[in-house]
Amino acid sequence: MNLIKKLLTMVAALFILSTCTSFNSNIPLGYNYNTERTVENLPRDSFLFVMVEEYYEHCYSSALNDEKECVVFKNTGIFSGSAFVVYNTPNGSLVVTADHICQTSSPSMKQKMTLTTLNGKTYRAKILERDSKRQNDVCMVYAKSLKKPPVKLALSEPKPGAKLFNIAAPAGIFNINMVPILEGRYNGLSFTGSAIYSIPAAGGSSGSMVLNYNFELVGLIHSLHVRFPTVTVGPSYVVLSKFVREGIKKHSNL
Amino acid sequence: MKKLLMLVILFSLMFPTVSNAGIVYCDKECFQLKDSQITTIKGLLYEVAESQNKKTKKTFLPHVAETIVWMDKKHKEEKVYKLEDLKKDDKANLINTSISFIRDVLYGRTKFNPRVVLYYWSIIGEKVNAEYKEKIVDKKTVIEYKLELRK
Repeated sequence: MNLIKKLLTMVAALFILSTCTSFNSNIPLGYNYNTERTVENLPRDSFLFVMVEEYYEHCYSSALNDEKECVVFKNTGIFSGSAFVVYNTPNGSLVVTADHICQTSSPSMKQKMTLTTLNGKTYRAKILERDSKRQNDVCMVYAKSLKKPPVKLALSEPKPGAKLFNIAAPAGIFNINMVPILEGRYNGLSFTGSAIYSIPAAGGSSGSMVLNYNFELVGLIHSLHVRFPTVTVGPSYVVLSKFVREGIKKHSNL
Repeated sequence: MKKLLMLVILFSLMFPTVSNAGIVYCDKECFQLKDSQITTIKGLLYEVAESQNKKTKKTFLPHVAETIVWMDKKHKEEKVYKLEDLKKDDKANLINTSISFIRDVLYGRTKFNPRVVLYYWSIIGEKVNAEYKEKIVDKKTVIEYKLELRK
């Protein structure tokens, strides 16, 4: 009789435990955000700090040795932004950022884009794909030798009101193992088709990832409202996911 | 006086003028380079040349000196030299790059304060002394050049 009681207790305990685990696995990762378990799942490692140097270059044939030489005529400016890894290729990674980061201030200028990982390693980036439409403003670059976990693309767009997370370096705030994590809500689409978020942002947030409650990619911040900077703007989920998927398909063997 | 000089420089750079002699720069419109613009370019080129490292200076200083001498010479001629037609010429390319850069500074596309730098380059440009000669000694081309500021 005792044995049966013990067995029943064990079965009951096992049942409770199993339901607990299944219940936990159904909870979205960002549901109870302030726990160590969920914090570990934040794709901070996918974040990249972008530094862009703009300069003028002049190439000439040296009269002394007849060799072609190029000099940096003038450095004309430096600015920062945010980016994130979307795919690991055999030799590097595909990275997404805002298109205005990929665009020089003047057609005569050249630019050097450097990506810095959360652990402080830097990589040169090469521009692959651009969508310069003002409402989209998204760019894909390739960084050779960079290997960081890619952000998962969400399967569906967020619903207006959904809680979102943003990993960005507004105003260039970034350090080794430190990157600002921000929260906000998805508000819907603007009349131009851009996604509107209520996530705080500043110059430097451009190109940063917007994640849903499961820490999957649903958007990107490219600009903020001039009169009410708490309202931020990015490409719609449909545009971004299409851009990312097509870019990966085209450049996956780099 | 300084303000007046600056405004003259800014004014002369902003509004294109077309003439029928000297060096002509074309973007959306074509305009002939004026004396004040030539001076500004000289100042900029001198500053750029001096900012290079030792290794680059070895080849870049003679190139800048040659360009300034060429620019001065063509500027005085009556013939028209359209920079866009001389794209294969490194000297014309250097002048073209300088003008594009000055225009970007003027339109606020760079980190530089247009009033300050344009004034600075025009003052330096007045003092730039450039000389360039190529001689053949023992079947080898020997370059003699000067790129300095007059006292």
